[in-house]
Amino acid sequence: MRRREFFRLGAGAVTAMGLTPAWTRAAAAQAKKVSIGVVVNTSDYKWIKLLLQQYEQKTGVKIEEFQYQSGDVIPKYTMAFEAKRPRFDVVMIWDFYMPQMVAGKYLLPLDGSADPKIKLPDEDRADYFNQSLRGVTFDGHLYGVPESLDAGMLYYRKDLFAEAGLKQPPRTWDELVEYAKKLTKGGQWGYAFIGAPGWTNTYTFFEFLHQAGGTFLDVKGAPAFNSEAGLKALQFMVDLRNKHRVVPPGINTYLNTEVQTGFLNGTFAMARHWPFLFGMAEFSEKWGAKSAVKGQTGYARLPYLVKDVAGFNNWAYCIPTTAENPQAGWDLIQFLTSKDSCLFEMLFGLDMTARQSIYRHPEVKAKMPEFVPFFDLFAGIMQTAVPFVFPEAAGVSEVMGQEIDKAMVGQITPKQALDAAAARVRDLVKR
Amino acid sequence: MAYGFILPSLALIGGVMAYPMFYSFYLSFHFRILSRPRLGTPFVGLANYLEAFRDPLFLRALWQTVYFSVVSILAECVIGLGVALLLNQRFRGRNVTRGLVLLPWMLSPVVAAFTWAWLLNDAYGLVNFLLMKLGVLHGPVLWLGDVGWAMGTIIVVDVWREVPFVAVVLLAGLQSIPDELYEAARIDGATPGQSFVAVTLPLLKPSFMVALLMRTMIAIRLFELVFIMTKGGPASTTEMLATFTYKEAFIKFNMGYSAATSVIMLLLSLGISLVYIRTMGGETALR
Repeated sequence: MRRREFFRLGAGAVTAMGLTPAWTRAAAAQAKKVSIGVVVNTSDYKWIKLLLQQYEQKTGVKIEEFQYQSGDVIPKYTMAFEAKRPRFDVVMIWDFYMPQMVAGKYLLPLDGSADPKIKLPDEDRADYFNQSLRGVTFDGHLYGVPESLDAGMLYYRKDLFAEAGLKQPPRTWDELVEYAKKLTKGGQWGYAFIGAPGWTNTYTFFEFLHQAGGTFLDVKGAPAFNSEAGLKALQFMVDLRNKHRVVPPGINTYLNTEVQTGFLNGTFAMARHWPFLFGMAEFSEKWGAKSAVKGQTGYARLPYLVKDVAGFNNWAYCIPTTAENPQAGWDLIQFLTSKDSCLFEMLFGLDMTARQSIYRHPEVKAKMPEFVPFFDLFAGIMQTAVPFVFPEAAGVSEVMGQEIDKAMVGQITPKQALDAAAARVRDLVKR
Repeated sequence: MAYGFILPSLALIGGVMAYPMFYSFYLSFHFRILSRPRLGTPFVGLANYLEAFRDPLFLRALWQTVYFSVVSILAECVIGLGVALLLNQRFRGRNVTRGLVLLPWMLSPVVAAFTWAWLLNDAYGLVNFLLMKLGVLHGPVLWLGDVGWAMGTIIVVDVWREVPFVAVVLLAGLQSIPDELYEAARIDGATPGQSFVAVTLPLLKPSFMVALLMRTMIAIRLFELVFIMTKGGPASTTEMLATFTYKEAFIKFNMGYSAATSVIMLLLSLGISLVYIRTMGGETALR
């Protein structure tokens, strides 16, 4: 072979490699396996497992999957990071827990600052909701790539609204109470939300707090929720149960399942819940759910007092600092969060992706026309949503949840609850 | 050679039980936040134990655990004895009935907890629905969300689940009592009630001790029913030592403190067991 031909061939090979998607090229050059920790009791897992199978088939890289439940995944991850066994290359984390993972120096930044090859490209960054990236960015560094979103929405029964002469969903707290009173009768409740002690009732309070114009923590990380806005928020939450009696009295035991079951079986006329409830209510066969309200599900932004906001969270993919093969992990993350994968997430999983462009994708409009208004609304909610992410989130939610619970059952006043919570949160964060 | 045969079991027990127990004991004298490894694991002496006895939430959980254990075990013993006496009679279908009685105990505690949580839901649970339909209730009861009802509800569910175990243990004891003793008592003019007090109860003492010991150790570490049905609420009125320890360890990552509370649980369990053995472990004598 002549030298010229050799260099031409070589140039062609290099060019061909350059045209190959980055993740297949890099993955092919990596070790033969990549390990991932996944949380299986989430709506996301049903499409994530299919994507993992696709990745294996396309690249020949074996996926070593470690499955966990959301209830105890963080202690298990922490122990694995400490013991360096197993050495995950990728972990799926709810951003609620990311501050303590970052504080423990367990996660690698994904903005090129730790490894120039592990960097979310700018064009991809621009595609994510700003608020979504805010939830996975700490001290100016990106620590996770969001893969799905959950934000609070209002669901309501269009048929019951029509019966009661209500023409549109409530936009203010006063309207919420007024409508809920009209709809509470004969075993049917006007409204429902997650209210069990822990992150659940803390989340509900967090949303009411921001809707009242308050903030959870100040810029120094100290409690700011025991403010006038905080008092209005908790008083409103307590009054919905004890004064207006428009939520079931057992609301202080309700997790996600109780709220969605009550809406789907027709017990609740309105509910504050997550985006996946729309799919469960209107496309129940795809969800394997039973819906007595099919065809009657309305959805809207949450009512508010001062600020029109909702709380939200991401599930995100992260790379532990103990990863055996961080580059292989990054290649997998890029695959799982590529536009094609996110499109698959929406079309197959009926889940909310973190990529804005997917909401306007022609295939979504063509294949899911009935979802388009829903997606438009959700994208709008995400523009102003507030991440439910703060330091020591799990411990803070636990202590706050206990004090909020006492106020909900009338053992203490909302002011006493907020003051006690603030003192306990200060002690917790101080350690 | 005998030691050679039991060595594998000892190694397994040592690895699975003894090492975690001793490590937990060691950790209880140290400060350790799992999510803050850079803070290290400094020795703090008895600080964790002192903190526990100054912590109103821990003291509340301790009291509620003792209260729950005493009430539920007492109920289980009384009802269990009644069930055992019934099952000791001869009647048609006795063997099938014995099997059916065991069903609640055979259910996994997690499955039982979830099932009861659904049945007792205030808005759409079957219990409220049926009781209102029968006219027993005029409105729904907040079985799990009311401070006055929640602990009682947990106790009732636990009794439902554990009575079969107590009944089976006592039934075994009843069946080991020779008929001749009852015959002798009858000949001496004893009434059935007198036979029960003078013959049955004393000879059932060993079985009672087994049932009490086992149930006490399990009751003190009650977790699933509370965690699934109430999460320790409402207003911490069903918080138990086990759920408290879990939250300290796996939500707040306060490993040193949670190790101390788990050692306190162990000591409580051991202490009560010793009391049982001393008071009830003596020779069984007939009056």
